[in-house]
Amino acid sequence: MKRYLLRFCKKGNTRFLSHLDIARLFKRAMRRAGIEPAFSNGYNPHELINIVQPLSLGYESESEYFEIDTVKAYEAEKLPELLNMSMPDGIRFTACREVERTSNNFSNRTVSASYRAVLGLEREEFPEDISSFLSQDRIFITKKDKKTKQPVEKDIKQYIYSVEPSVSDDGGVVLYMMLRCASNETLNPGKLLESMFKYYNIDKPLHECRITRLDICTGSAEEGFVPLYESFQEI
Amino acid sequence: MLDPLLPGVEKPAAYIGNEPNQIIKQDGTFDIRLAFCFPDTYEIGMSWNGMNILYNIMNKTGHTYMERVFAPRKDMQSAMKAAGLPLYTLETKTPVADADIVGFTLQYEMSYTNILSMMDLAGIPLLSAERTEDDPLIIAGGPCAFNAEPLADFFDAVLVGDGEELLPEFCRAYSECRKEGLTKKDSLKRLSRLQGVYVPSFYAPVYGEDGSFLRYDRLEAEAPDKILRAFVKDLDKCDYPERNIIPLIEVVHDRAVCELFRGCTRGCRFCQAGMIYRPIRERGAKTNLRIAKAQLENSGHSELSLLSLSSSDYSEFQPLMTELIEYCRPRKVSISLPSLRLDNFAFKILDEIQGMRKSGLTFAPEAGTQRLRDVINKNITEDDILGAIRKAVSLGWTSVKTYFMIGLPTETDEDLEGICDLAEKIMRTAREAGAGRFNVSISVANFVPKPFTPFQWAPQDSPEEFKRKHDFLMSRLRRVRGATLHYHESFVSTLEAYLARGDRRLCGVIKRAWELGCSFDSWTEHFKEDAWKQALSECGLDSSYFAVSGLRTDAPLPWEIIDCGVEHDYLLSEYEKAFTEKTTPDCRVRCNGCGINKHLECAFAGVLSR
Repeated sequence: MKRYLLRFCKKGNTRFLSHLDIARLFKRAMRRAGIEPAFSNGYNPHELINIVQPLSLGYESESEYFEIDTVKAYEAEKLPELLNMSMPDGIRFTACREVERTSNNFSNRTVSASYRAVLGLEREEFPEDISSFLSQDRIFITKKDKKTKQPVEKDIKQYIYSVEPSVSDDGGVVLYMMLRCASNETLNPGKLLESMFKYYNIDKPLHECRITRLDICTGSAEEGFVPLYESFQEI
Repeated sequence: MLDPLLPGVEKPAAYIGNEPNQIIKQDGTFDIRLAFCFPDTYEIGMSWNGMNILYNIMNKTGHTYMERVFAPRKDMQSAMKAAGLPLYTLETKTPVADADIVGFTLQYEMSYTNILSMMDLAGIPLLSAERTEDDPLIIAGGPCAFNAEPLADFFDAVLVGDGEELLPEFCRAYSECRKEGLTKKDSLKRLSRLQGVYVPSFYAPVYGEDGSFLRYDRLEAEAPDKILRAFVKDLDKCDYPERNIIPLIEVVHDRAVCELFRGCTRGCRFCQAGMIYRPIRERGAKTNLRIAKAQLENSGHSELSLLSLSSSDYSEFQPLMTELIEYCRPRKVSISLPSLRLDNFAFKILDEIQGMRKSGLTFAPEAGTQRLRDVINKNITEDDILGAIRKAVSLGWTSVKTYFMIGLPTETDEDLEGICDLAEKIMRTAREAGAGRFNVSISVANFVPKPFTPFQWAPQDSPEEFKRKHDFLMSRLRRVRGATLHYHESFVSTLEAYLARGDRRLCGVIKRAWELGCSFDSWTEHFKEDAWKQALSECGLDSSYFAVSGLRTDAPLPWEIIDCGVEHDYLLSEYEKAFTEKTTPDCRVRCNGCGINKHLECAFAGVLSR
């Protein structure tokens, strides 16, 4: 058995494809390309594949990761090319590595993700310094409870590693964020923006902000985050 | 312009196109841009195999570029209107109004108002008479095109019958007309010479003083008296798609699809498909096998569906299934077989293809008593069903679905009791066969008489009567443990019958209903009963106008401007025979003389008796 880790980007209108849509697309692309995934045992065997961290509908990404287990060996550098033959515009595999097949897949190893959010706001519409927001004792977001479907407040301060405002060439506000992104807890950047907009009384519908995931990281806040892409070399 | 709208609407990915295997043609490489519209959502339209077939054929021509268009959901329609974005084609995002031909497929009556929504969203005047030389030619096809009178005022031409050869020929001929600089009207005169092309504006309906339909006055000398539907002679030689578009989002049916054959020899008297697709024409097993393999390889689908009106009637069923199973099993491709008669071989196949996961097993007795099944000529007996139940239980099935119709000609409450009795017997048989938990679902459809069937003259129950029958069934079935009843909205069925058998005066009703906000009428949550009733009464067509008591068999029928190939006298004799409770054998047993063989060889007539 072999395991391969592939990197891909998801841009343009493909940002409207859900996690499940992407999984279906990839499974079919593998069949078309003749890449045979390994299957689980049991009554309903399923492909042993994994998209490393689900990306919310509507967000673009520079770096997403896809793991596949296969019975046969493939030339890793050929896999992106084979899969790209049946990708829609916007989704492109850019790299692939054979990785060690452990019981711990990459979804269990990531800790954070970096994002860029183009807010669609002019400089004067957004505070120059957002430390007042960030230095609150607790930062609340509103979430739907999974069981009761009722909105509940949740303190997510510990999941924010950094938020840095910046201004793009055309004068718009851009935020760079490093947020928790792990198998047990993930902070959706949109939720953070909602909370921030509410704090500063900014009237901006979230869907007008363009959010892009830049990379998913391993490592830790203390010793530094390592983008999966950078660690690609050492895997 | 599209981009900013997408984040704010439901199912944005339905509006982006960009799927693997879609076809992009560069401007200047074709003469005719055909915007092919399915008047319902992307998820429904992309599940329809007919579009795959035509997309493949049309885009192989040098003259035409066929692009897809679906009805945007209501939220997207509002967003597009607010932003001033007109309806566009999925492939190249070209405004539909800029196409040369806009074609609508008419698959079911309750999609009609969506056609008006789409034309309106495209900025195209609704009425044929209001359009100019600058507007695209608006055409329609599909099963409901066999009676397109309720939409006749909106269309410039209606294509009746198999589309595989007619549609490319129509587009080619139209491109010639355009090159010669002909006006739309002169083009239509020439196009009306093609078999299967109906130009409604060339015929004026005449009504009697009592409002009954009398005849059509032909307004153009060139136009034919009657429009004979188009036929594909040899399905095996007919190009069939091997590289389907792969939807990026979940659609209703998302799978490789083989059409085993077209037509049906069983002759159920209510069934329009069984009449309008005659004669039965098969695609060879070799061809089907090649198609199945190619489609699976080119799409990466993990499900293959074999389409036909009655799978087990396929003459090479056993060899095809054996080979397909051999191909699919190691590739973990599942096979689905709708319309299977549950004989021993079918069970063997089902057991093999479904393995441990037993999905639904379905029966369509259609009526609850043998008497009524004889009336409708549905050749299935209680013994067939109960025998199959025993077998199913022994193979591990734990549920079955059954389909019935209510409101069929001659039906009495005894026939409804028959449905409940059958449900009880199924449960008892299942228990006796050793089933632990077992469920039977009973789906009851309201009978809707359709044009070009023996029951085209039949009366339809009123909505109140349908409701009474639903209540009747509900109260009786409540005591049958393990049985669940499903039924349809009554007034929707009434309206379906109005639209199915309507004449040209229905155009006004449809337009008015649409103006009153009706659209997506097949969606329970969108159906506006009151608005439809208002539209009917404003147009002076209340329910008394519609012959609830049945149509006179000696009066002309508005859809008989079309010749479907099956003769009027045959349909009438079948209608009359129904009341004597006499059945008509399968065409494979002997030719019953429906008249279709005057147009096309009927390869399977009497084969079982030879």
